[in-house]
Amino acid sequence: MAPGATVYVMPAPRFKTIHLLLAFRQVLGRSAVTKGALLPRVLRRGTRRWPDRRTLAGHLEDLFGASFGTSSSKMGDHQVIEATFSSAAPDALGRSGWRTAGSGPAGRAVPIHGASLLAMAFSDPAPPGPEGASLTTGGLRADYVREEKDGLRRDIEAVSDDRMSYAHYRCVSEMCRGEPAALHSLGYSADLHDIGPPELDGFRLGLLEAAPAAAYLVGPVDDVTADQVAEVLAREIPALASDRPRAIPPSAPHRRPGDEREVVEHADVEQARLVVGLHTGVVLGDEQFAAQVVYNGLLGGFIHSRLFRRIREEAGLAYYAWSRVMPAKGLILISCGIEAGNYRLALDLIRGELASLGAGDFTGDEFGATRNSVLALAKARLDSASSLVYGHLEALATGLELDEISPWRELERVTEDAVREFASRPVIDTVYLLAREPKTGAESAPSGRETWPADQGSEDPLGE
Amino acid sequence: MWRRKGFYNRHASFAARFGAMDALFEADGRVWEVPDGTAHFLEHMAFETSKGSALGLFSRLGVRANAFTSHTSTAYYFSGTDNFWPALRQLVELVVTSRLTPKGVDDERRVISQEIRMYEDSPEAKVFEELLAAMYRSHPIRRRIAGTLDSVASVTPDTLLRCHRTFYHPSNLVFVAAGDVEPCRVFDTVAAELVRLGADRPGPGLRRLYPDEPALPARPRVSRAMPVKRPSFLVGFKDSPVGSGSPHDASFGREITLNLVVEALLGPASGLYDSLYRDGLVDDSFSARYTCGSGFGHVVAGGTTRDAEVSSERLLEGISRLRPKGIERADFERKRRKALGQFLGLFDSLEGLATLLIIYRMRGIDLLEYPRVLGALAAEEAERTFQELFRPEQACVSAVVPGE
Repeated sequence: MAPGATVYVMPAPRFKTIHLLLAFRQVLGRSAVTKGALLPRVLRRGTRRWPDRRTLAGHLEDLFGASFGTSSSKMGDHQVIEATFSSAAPDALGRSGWRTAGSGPAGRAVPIHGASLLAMAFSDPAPPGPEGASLTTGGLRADYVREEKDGLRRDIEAVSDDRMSYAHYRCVSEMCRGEPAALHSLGYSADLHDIGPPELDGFRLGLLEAAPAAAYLVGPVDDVTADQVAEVLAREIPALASDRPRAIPPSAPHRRPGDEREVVEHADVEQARLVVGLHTGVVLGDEQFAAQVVYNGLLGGFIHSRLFRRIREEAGLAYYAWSRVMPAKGLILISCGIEAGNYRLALDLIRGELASLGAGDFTGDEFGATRNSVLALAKARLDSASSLVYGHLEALATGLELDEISPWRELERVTEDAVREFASRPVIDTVYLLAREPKTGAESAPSGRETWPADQGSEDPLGE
Repeated sequence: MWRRKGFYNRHASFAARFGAMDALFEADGRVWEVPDGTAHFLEHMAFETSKGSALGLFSRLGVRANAFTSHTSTAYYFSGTDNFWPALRQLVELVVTSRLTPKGVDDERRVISQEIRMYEDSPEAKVFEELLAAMYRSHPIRRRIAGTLDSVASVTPDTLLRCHRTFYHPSNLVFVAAGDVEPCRVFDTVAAELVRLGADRPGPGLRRLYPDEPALPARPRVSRAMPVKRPSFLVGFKDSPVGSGSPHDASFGREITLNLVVEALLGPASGLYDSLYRDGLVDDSFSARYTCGSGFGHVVAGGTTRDAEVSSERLLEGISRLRPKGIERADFERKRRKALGQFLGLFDSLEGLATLLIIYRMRGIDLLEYPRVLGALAAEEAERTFQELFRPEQACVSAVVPGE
């Protein structure tokens, strides 16, 4: 495999399913993010061998209901463009007593079929038919590109329909303005106009040639299967086997914050969404990272944490109130759904807890319970293929290769003093509120649907 | 108990057969009707115990606890890698004992109000709620799980205590554990704890009352405007309920058969799905499932769309065109094969598996019989249920459209 292209094998004999993932990464940028969001949608429509949804779905049914999907997502300053495959493991199928003779391939070869499908999705997509006739080999089907552009445009226009995730995106986008992580991972509908099949196919070939690539194989697999999977990937995507190095700059920690900012936006919502973004600057791989995880546990990671107790249990202001770490950016997001009229009250409670933890004001019991919970969660992740894979991928964004156990070991070593030392670091960078516009005086509230244009946040934060 | 050797995580669920559907019942010689959202309210209150909030106790043990309420049950559960045994005893105690106070109830009412408001902003939740309310005239499956701001306001501590006494009795509870733990020790621990807490008293003689429900949807069409950018639609087909006297296996078989039928009609490999997708009428959010329980059964299919009316029309037309053709035998066999593979996949999620084991146990069904029942299904039966359920008059459409 080329430098920057690696197959990671995570043997887990305890699982009854196998999971495969093939991912390419690029730095988020206005010129490429929309293509990065569009490409996986087009690729999942079919390959040369299974050129449409129906034949592809039939192939998956023959593989005992295996699932196949593609997507793009944001990890720190990077966009991850991925294809995944999972299916019942060959051994589990054998033991089920189900007769596998007859139609379809034998169960044992399922992981190989999966690897081959993932690779072909990227390297050998459904070729243009007569409609998009192209004399050169390769290329993408124009009808697929057109349909997926329409679908992506509708997704982009509806991002604010999921109020919670929209509020999180807006807060992060405000905090990270000027950084790649400010961009929405779905891209921008204004940019779709200029993307046709040739542009998108050029983008695909660029990824295959030069983008860092990671493949994962998780489940009850032996070395022979792992080797076969690696061979299939290298055969189907020859560029992966070349010596040409694949590298992009690692995701950078959030820059130092300026003064605390308040961003209030209006929409016709029953429940107001409050998101408080904290700057910590501590990312995966930093010495203080494990202390940050325990700190977040004290603050809002669990239902025994401060935020849940103060905001929900004691004050009754919210149904959910939690915080979470963004490991690749050095940020902590606090999130709760409240009545708009309780905004100041909820914010004061949050400030109070930040100040209290900042002053090192927590008990040994509280620390012990939190560390136990954090450790149990870290260990439980070993039972989840997706946690294993995405945890590893997120670390790759910061230029780090995690093994399965080290996060757990580091958490085990965190002391009360280490958390107290860390607790003075978090500062509020941005307070974001999504709420109904208060009705004041003669001014009528604008319609909720038009409060933000669909491309809110699309001013070019990178100055490209 | 489902033992999974080699797993780090260990999980236990303890569930009461008390959900949003159980709003009208007879117990202790009289009939009771409770407000919508009562079962869910009781779930919120259950974490108060003699030793303070059980959430704090669980967290000191390093386990994650939570609960959920559905139309048919309320389940309490925890997952963790260590301290399984003390957490297990705590779980049993919080379910079979009740420590609620009037002040606690009032405080929790505010939290639940925020939860209800959150659902009010969700087009996905609204379009589904409205579908059930339109499809059923009186069956309690139409009741909202969390209730409304008004119905929750009328829940009193007495109501909650009455329901606890009636429904949280061992005769109405199901327990499941999953992970790498010794089954005998699990059962002994739970049994000993029930005796210690005095929960082995006689049961309340509970009888659930379901009003008569017409065979056809109460309203064929319902639409609602919400301040969203993108419409949503759901098409439902109302099933005539399998008689309560029928063998559990028959109801399980029918459920699995109908899900294979739904997969053949509307699954990702179907021509109908493909044509709707290519015209932008359905997207990744699309799902289609058959669900059933006491006195109800329905197929629900839909998701977000560019045009709710065109999508539902096209879906209904498509099904009408397919009915005379029926389901191909080979296609049915492929769906069967797919269903088996997906069933095996369940076993890698302890939480998901435990939840399903409970849901089916409450219907008197052993989930682990799935491969056997699946293997024994007849293709002719699929054809018959297809013709029976997907008649146009059984259809019901719910839409959420952008607007004030």
